[in-house]
Amino acid sequence: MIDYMEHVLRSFEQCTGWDRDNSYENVTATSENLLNFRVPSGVKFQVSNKSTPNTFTTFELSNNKVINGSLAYLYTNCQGLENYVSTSRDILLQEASETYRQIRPLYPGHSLRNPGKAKGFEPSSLWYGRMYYPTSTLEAMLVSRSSAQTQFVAKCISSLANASVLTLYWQKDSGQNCQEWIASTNEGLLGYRILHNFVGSQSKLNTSLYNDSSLSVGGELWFGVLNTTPACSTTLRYCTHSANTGKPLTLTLSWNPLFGHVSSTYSVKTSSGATFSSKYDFNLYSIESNLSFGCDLWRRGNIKQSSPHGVKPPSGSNTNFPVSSKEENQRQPGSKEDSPMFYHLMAGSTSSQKLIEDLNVTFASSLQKLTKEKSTIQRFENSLIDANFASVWKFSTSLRHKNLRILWEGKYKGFLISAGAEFTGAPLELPSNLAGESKTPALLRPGKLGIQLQYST
Amino acid sequence: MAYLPSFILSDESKERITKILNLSQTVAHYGWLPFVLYLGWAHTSNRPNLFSLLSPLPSV
Repeated sequence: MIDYMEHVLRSFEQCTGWDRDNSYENVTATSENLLNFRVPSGVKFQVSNKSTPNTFTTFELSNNKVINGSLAYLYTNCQGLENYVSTSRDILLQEASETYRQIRPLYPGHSLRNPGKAKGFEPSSLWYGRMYYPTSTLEAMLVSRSSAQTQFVAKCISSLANASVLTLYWQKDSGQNCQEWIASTNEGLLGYRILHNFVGSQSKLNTSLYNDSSLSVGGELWFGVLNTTPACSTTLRYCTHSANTGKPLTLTLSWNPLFGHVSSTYSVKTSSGATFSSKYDFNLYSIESNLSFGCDLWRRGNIKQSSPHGVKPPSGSNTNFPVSSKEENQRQPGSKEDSPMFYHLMAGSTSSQKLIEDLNVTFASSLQKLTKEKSTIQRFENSLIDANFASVWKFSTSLRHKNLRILWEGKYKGFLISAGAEFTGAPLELPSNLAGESKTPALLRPGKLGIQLQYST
Repeated sequence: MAYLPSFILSDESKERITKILNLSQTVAHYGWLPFVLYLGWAHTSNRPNLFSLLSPLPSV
């Protein structure tokens, strides 16, 4: 379950038109959400409050052997944020839970993925602080949006007893490229990350007129100045829809040349209530491999309630399926959003709009196929947006680690509840010869058990 | 002394700089949350009272 402050941060990004999926950090977010979801440990209770339209407060108590607590405050000068931040009673479960990330493709002529926001961009910033008790460790963050394409983030963990870490991020997202420069006081780490989106172009292999697929390639370079250690990795991501059923699927391929690690994932949303993901890891040097599976199964609740604000959060990166059926109806016919998305046929053309109009008239019959494919995909997406899910079960397992993780997330009387357990086989910390001596069968035993309750107003 | 390069510091100066850095970290450490709260208070038009700003519990 996403924490309240994380939800506010994502709402801030959504409100200011920042696409968090268009970043190398989140390039494998879908498979990570489905395979490596966080299982709560111990009992955790969190109560959050929006004290004014621009300030947010969270108090948290957790009991994991020792009672710990934290108090967090957040201030932002972003206008209109209250339309994006939902209380725990009103929030849709698919927005409160980490799940399949729908990637919107990039079309030529749309320099930004959220063009509506670019026109009325206003510089805004977000200030956040969280103090943990009884250790008195401070977690601080500053996010500043100076222009429509740039974002500056400063994160700090300050501890008077231990070493403090300050990390600075400078991010520039032009739609086609997202570049990040990172500097951290931890080992003097310097980093550079880039994610490039290919604009869809005409291909003989592409028999579908309606191109809703997205191909991205990214890489990262790191260098520790104090320990003179380099690191790097590169990833390819491909997202598309099945043309017949409109079901989205994502493939990624990652490669770490220094460690010789190759990892491939395949995630598919087989129906509006089920997602499956698999991951295969292989190391070229040690010939070790691992196969992981994960799935989430959603259960529908009652008929969807209307939003109390009367304003539905506009489409953005945070919502997993951002195009709302209501918004579709409200759009003016003939607007740019409604024009058929076959820009990939005319990549590089500047006067494409007139050509599109001519095409509409001349090839009306062939374009019917396009409309059919588009409507299939959008019908599937709309069924997800309108769905009022009540709970979700998540399972993941890994063959090498011989573990099973189960997580249940749901809404109950205005509370967001997340309960989970992790079962492991032989204890990983024992050496292999010792594990062999204990002749007990490798049964799964609970390694982690926890429940988390969230309430926010 | 005046001809020495600027990066060579005496022990007293190093000690003083360390003290100043430690003090500034302590000030930032304990001052950050009040600073965030002050920003929220100063930029809200109706200037809410401190208790409603501090309290994480839902206000009636």
